[in-house]
Amino acid sequence: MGMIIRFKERKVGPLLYIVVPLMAVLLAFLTGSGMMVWARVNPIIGYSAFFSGSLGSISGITDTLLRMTPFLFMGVGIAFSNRAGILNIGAEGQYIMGAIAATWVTLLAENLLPAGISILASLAIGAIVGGVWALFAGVLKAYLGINEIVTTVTMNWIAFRILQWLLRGPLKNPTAQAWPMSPPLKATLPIIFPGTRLHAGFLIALFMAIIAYYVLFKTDTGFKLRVIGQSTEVGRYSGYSVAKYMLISMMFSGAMAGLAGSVEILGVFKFLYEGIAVGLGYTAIIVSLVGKDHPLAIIPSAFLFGIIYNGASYLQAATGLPYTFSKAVEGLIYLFILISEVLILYKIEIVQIGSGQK
Amino acid sequence: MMGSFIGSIINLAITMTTPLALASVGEVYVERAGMINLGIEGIMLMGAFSGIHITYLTGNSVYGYLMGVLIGLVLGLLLAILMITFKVNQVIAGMGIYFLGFGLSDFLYETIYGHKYITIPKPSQISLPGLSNIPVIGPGLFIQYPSVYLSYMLIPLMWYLLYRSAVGISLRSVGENPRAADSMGVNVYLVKYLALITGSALAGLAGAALSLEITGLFFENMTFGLGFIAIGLVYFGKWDPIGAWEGSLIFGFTWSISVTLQEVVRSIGHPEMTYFMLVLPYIAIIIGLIAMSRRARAPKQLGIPYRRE
Repeated sequence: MGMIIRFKERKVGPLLYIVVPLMAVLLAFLTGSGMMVWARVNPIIGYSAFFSGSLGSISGITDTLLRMTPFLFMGVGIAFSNRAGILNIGAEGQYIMGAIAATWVTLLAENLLPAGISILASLAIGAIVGGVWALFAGVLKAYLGINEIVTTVTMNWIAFRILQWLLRGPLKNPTAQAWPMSPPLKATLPIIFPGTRLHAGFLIALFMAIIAYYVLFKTDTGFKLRVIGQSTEVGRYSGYSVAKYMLISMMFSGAMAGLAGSVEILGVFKFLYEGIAVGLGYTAIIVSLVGKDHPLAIIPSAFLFGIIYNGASYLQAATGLPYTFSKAVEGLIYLFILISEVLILYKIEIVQIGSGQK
Repeated sequence: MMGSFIGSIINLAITMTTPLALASVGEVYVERAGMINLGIEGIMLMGAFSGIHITYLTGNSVYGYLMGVLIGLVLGLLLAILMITFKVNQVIAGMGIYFLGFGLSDFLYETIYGHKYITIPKPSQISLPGLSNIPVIGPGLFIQYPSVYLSYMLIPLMWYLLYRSAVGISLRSVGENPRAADSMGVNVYLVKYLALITGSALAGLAGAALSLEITGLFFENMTFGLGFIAIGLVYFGKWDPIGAWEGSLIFGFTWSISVTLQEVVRSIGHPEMTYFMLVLPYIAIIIGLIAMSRRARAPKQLGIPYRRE
C-alpha cells in the first residue's frame, strides 16, 4: 500500500557510552559557533578565549576544577537517586538549604570552636539539612505516590524565598549596604594549591564520588537500590522495602547537594547572598546525564561543565557574548545526547508494506 | 470599600491563575493521550521571551501572543518527534526541552538587549460592559486581560471536546488502550502528535501571557516554576480540565493573598517578611497534592511509548 519509515533497534556495545557524549558535546560546540556568528562574534576568537582561559594556565585549570566542584557533588547525588528510579530535580533547593545551614552554623560556631571543628560541623549540618529537605519529597513519593519532579521543583522555589527572607532578616549583615548579604565568614575551607583559589572542597567531592561508586556497585544496599530503579515491581517481589531504599537514595542525593552548597559558601563565596542560586542544581542534572549516572564517569562530565562555565566567563570578557552562553550550550548538549542516542540505537529503514498486512 | 478590596484580590488572583491554567489544561490533553510533557517550563520561558521580543519589535502585543503560540508549536513538534517517533524516554526528552528553553531564552534576551529591562506597551485590562458592574466579583472577573477571556472560553470548550466529541474519545482511548484504538481505526501517532503540539502551544501562550500581562518584562527563569506546577495540577485535578483549572485557581488566590499580606507585613514594619509570604502559593500546591493523592487514577498508558506491531 505504500512505504513507511521504520526505526529498528540495534545492539550496541559499551563504546556508546563514550561516543555519544563526545558527539553531543562536539555538535553543541558547533551549534555554539553558529550562535556566535549570529551574535556577530568570530567563533575562532571566541573559542580560543574560551579554551585558553579555562585550560591554558595553572590558574585557569584550578578555576575550572573549582567550578566543577558543585557539579561533581550534585551530579553524583542526582545519579545516585536516578539509579533508584527517583528523579531529583530539587538539587537547586537542597543546595540553597545546605548553603544557608552552613552559613548559620559557621556564624554561631566560628568564635566558640576551633576553625577545623567549625568547618566540619558546618559541612555536616549542611549535608544533613540538604538531605532532610530532599527527604520530604522522597516521603511524599514513597508513601503517597506524589510525583517527585513536581514536589522537588516546587520546593526549590520555597528554598529560594526562604533565602531571600533570611538575608533581609535573621542572617542580615547590618553593615552591608549594596545588596542583601550575610556577615562574612572567617572559618573557611583551606586552599589546597597555594597561589590559586582551589580549596579542599574539591577533594571532598572526589572522595564522595568514589564513596557513591562503592555504595552503588559494591554493596548490598546499592544492588537493591539499582534493582528497584530498574523496576519497583521486581524489587517488591524480591522482598525489598521499596520505600526504604527510595528514602535512602533521596536522602543521599539531597545530602550531596547540601554539601555542594556548604562547600561553595565555605570555599568560594565566604558569605551568603542571593547570587549563590544561579541554577547550578539544574545544570547538575545534565552533568549526571552526560556521565550516564555512573559516579566515576561523572568526574570527567563535571570537569567538562567546569570548562564550559569557566570558559564562558573568558568568552564574555573577550567578546562581550553573554555569560548565559554556557546555559544555551548545556541545553544543546542535553538535546544532542538524545538525538545521537536515537541515531545510534536505531537503524532507519524504509520498507514497503502491502495491502492486508498489519 | 471592603468590596473593592476583595475585588482587587479576585482580580489579581484570576490574572495569576490564567497562565497556569492554560498550561495545565494543555497538559491534561497531553497526559490523556498517554504522555508527559516535562518541557512546559522551558516552552513557557521561550513563549515569555518571544512575547516580549515580538511585542517590542512590532509595538503590538497581538503579535507577541501569536509568537508565543508559534514557538510552542515548534518546540512541541520537536518534542513529539523525539517522544512519539523515536520513543525517547519521555522524562529525558521533556527535560531536554526544558533546558533548551531555559538556556536559549536567557541567551537570546541578553544577546539582543544586554542587561537592561525593555518595557513594552502592556495589553490593557478590558472591561466587559454590564458584567463588570456586578458587585464584588464583577471587577475581578470581567475587567481582565485578553488571555483571561480566552481561558473562559477555551477551558470549557476543551472540557466539552474531551468528553463529548469524537476527538475526545479518540484522545482518551489512545491514553487508555492504544492497541484497541488502533484496531478501531484511530491513527494513534497522529492523535499523540496533535495532543502534544496542542499542549505545547498552550504552554507557549501561557508564557507570553505571563510576560505580557503580569511581569511586563522578561528576566531569567521568570516562570517561577509554574511549568512544573502545571504538571502537578494535572494530578491534582485528576486529569480533568476543570479540575486543573480549580487547582490553578487555588494557586492564583494564594498568590494574590500573599501579595496582599506583603503589604500588611510591610506596613507593620517587617519588610523582610515580604519574601517569605511568597512561599505560601508553593506550600498550597504541596498541601493540595497531598490532599488529592491516592484519589486519582492516571491514564493506563501514561509515559509508555506506543509501538505498532
